[in-house]
Amino acid sequence: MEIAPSITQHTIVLCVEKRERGIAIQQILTKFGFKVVMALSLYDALKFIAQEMPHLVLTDAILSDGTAGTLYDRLQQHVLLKKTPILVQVLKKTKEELAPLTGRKFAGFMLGVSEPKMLIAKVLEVLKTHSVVSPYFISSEQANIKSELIIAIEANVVGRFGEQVVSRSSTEVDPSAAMVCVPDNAENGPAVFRMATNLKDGEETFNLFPINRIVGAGRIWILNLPEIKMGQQSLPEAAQKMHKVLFYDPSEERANGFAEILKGYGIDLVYAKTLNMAASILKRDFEVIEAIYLHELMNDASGIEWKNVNAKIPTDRRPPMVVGTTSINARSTAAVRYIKRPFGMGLFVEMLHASFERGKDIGEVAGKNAANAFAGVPVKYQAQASLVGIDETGGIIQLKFPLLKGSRMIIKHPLLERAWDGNGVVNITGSSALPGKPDVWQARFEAVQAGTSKAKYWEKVSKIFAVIEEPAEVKSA
Amino acid sequence: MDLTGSDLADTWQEKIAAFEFASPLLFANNLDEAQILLNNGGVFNLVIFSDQNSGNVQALLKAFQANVGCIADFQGIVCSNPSAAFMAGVFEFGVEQFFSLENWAEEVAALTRKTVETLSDPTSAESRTVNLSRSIRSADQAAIQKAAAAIKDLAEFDYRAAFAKGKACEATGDYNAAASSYAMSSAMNKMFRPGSASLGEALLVTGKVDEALEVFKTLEKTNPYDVERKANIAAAYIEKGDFESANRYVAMAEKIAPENSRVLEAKAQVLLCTGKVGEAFKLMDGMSEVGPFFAAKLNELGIQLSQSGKGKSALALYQKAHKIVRPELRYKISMNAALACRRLQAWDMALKYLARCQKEFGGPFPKLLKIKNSVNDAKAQSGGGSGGTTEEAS
Repeated sequence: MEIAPSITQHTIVLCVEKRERGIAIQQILTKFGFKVVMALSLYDALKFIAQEMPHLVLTDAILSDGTAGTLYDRLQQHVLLKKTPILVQVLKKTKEELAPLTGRKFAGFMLGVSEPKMLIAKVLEVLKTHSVVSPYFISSEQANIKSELIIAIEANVVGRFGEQVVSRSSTEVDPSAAMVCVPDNAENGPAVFRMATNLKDGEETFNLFPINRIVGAGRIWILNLPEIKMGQQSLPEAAQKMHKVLFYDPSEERANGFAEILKGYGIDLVYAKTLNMAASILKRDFEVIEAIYLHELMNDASGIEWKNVNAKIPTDRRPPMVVGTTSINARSTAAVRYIKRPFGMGLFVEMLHASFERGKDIGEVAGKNAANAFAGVPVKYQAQASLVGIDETGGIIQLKFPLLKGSRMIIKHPLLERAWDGNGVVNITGSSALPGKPDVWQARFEAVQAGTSKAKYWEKVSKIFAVIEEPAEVKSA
Repeated sequence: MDLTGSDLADTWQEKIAAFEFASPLLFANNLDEAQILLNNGGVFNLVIFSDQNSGNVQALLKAFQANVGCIADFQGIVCSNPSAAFMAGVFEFGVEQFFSLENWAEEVAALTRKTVETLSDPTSAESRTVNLSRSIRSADQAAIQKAAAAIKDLAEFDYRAAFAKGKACEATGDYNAAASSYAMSSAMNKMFRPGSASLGEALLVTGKVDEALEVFKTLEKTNPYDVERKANIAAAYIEKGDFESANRYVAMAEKIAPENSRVLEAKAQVLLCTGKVGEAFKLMDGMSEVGPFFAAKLNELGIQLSQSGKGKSALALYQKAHKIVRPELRYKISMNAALACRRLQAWDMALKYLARCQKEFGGPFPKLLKIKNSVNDAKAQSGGGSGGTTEEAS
């Protein structure tokens, strides 16, 4: 099965003789997104490799207390670690450096002191050849295990606000996700929720879903949820109010078209032709602006100016921001909601409407510490996924929408749950679409059960999945 | 379907080569060709390349809605920077997917995969909607009722299913039930404009003109560019006898799309109501896929003509009407034509119309059998009276 590129953060154990050179290489690799653990001796290298189970060992040919050859031999004796690719840096083509390398199957060599670009290219080449995900990665097919699984997010539906269902959970939900909301109480039917908006109030995360887009038997209990009332304003008053939205679009004609149509939806546009102009308006009128739409947000001077102005506004008064993007990998968060351009009218209007709510306001009336808050309906947001494979920290799943990095969710898969002693909670560490397939996403997860010792975790998991060779008896020298 | 006049005809195959499509793609660059493909019944996705909300875009979306159903997820528009008016225009059909010119091939590939997966589940709302739309298109009343029964349970909690059920009720002539289904659909999803628009039309057909007008005007606030709605508002004003307002809306609609069939309907309605039948007839030549409201108006006029002794004029009207109304509405015209023939004592012709009516309906039904018996009796008595008390259908 195809694996999405760049969803795995690779760990490299760097073994160098000289600390200064090690720090320089570490900086280059870290900047490129690798996790680097530096060892200044063979002894430390072996210790770190056993702990970290790296995807690559980058080592000098000569170390302070041994050679790359010894390192290779020691790893070959280890049933778990023998697949670890080793890339050797030969600084001088001397007999002393070259001799220990003969007769051993290293993953690659670099001669002389490498330029940063060459170093990265070589590292990527070796990783691609030896461990696209990890040297320990075993696909579901290889392990001959059932790939179908269910992902679930635990949440508590706390009420309705206007045309939105509000729930509290530990994680943000991507706006493009369609998930089945399954109440813990089987008397309440399930329903499909989509187009989430996330709000933050301190540590609390609120997921808002437009009622308009909910389909399924669960609509019945959803419509009976209590309404969340904000301050003194009643819902009909709130619905009739015109909402001011700061609207940046380089085309004035396009903006005028939006102004006319959005007025009918209760949205009053404050137009800015440039991002600088938008920044000035925000600086002056942030108290009356309820949401912001930016056609694009570049990393140029105007983008930086915008970010500076926005950052100076107190967090709880900062208007929510919807930013247009053409990238499919831009992931919305509570701070910035991305809308993929070109977009449709309904999606845009729903997104703007959801932006008028603030996490702090919701938190005050529906958060854990809110007085008289409705206890809520405990639910799970579920979606079908498939297990691409497992490795030393977790694995990769495939599904139809992106999962946000940092999300915490439950994986329901009989064998994984057994391996994790019934605790299926995982952390999502990366998510990406397959090239050319915007509807096929892969997400990398780390099992919370992994704890600190990857080796112990992998030993246990791999036994359950029967993917590890039984250790052979070691003949004494 | 390419409406941009680009070189897509030469390049599209090359562009799609790198991607996995779940179903074959068919290319069209003129409206007739695209409509033939849609009407053939094998098409489940519609992707339109256009940079504006032209009459052709509207015609294609309408044809898709009639042949496949109002399934937004099965349709997409390729346009990198659509205007708000374009977005609002296609949103009238529930369409919200826009693809950029750079990525359209991979997005369309994803669209086909999703469609095939959804339709492979016969219990999905989409599968049932497609079946129902196909039945409505076939105009076979028994098949419509069967497909409508299959979607009934979903209609209570899925706005798309409620909308489809409304269409089925319309096709079987039950406009009150259609109105309640549309009301349910638009209450479930206030942003689902096809539900609200059809609710307005059903209210208009059932004579609830003020309610219809309110629905149309609410929709008008969020998209003042929709031609058909302006024509519907005009029709509502005609019903209220306010010809000045009606003409104002007709003029506004005509300004946007003078050749639009629904605008012609509104104009013809004004002419019919002001007694200019001949001029109205001329306008009818340019109409197609006429909806239930104008079809009802034509039936009403035909009945009046027939009952006032102008049977031949009634038959001429029915003949014209039969050509322009939607397939599922044709059987009523045939039945009324048969009744007009019975009044004219043209027994054989009446029986011919009844046979056509039975074919269009998909089988015999009680009212048809009653008329048939009365015609046969009258024929046997060779010109003996009108032969019964059956009434025409509006």
